[in-house]
Amino acid sequence: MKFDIWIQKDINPFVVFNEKGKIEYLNDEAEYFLSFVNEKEIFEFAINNLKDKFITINGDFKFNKFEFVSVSIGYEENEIGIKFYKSLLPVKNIKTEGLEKINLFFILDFCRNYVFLDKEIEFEDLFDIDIPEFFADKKALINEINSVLSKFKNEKKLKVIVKFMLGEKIKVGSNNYNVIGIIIKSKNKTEEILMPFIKKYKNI
Amino acid sequence: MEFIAEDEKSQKIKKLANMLKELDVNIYIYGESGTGKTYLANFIANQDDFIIENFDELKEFIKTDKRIIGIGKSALNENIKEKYDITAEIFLDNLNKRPKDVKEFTKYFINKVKENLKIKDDVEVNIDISENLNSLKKSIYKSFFKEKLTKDELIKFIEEFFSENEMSYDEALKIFDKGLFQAFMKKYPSKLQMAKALKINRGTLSKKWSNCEI
Repeated sequence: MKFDIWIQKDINPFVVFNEKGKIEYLNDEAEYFLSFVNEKEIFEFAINNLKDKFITINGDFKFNKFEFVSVSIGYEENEIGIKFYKSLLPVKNIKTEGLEKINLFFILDFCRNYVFLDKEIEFEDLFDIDIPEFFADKKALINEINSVLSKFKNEKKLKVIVKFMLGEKIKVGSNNYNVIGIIIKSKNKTEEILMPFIKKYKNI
Repeated sequence: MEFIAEDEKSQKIKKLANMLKELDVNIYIYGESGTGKTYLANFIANQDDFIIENFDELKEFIKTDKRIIGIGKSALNENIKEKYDITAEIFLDNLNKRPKDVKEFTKYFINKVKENLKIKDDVEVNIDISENLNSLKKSIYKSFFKEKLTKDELIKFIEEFFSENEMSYDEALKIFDKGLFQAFMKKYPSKLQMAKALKINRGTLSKKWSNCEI
């Protein structure tokens, strides 16, 4: 088995620099990560924390919007590698029983019509329409969306974004899931609803 | 079953109702008598759903695996909503706030009366929405009744009444007698004259009269 693909597709960013700080290799996640964070900052961080040939440090590491709970740094010949470990977001009270297959867009449409029944409101939708049906606690989700939308009852215009939250994971039971986010923005505030993208329910 | 919705808010409610058909969550519909709560509940309900009337007055907890569609007059408190896992509450306004709906309901009831009574001609109707659909329906029937009905139409009218109201022969006769006597009372000042006009014995009239509790 070749292991390259496992590194390339790892959900944690992994970068290899040469001795001058030039990137020799980076995996998919690191490519995304380095679109927000300066590579020089990461190289200097690696150099400053390298106390041995290979070291793993636990702690809270923050770069831009990214948070990590651990980092491994190692060197070999003229190359230095660094791998960050994401914190898997614990989400409280996610049911693992009685989940139903849902169409998120249908539910969102229902909630909007329900919450704003007595009000005309302008919506700007930015939906990733490729999000397929997935399994969720339907009633809890409807209640959560209704509750969040209710906070915007005095607004005239809302921007609603539905998308996969790149690089984020939610742990449910013993499994980690990609995250779907509904982001609701008005002129004055932003609210976010995150949910695990559970494609196969029986596997929980 | 169709749910009439011509006013803007009613149309929004209908849109929600169509979604609720598919969503399979517990619902509570409330509003005053005759606002169309039962129509809406039946419009949403699937075959297996459990429609509970007077839901806001329940004394004991009802446990069921079916989807609940509760109907009541007042809003529920949070405790009851949580207890029954009510996901959506829909309030239906009185008809005086739904002018376009009233127009459409009037058309609907007129057609229903004409169909039931097999009447072809239109009559001028005086509608009453003081008790929402309850009084609207009654006022339309009354308007038709005020027009000269033929015997056959009257029979049809009676037929419709008894198909919805089951009762004993004696009770049915009391209704007939009461209507008849009240009509003759307006024409004839004494029971003697009334008995003569009806071609029955005065004693028989008195006996039937007291039975009718006029």
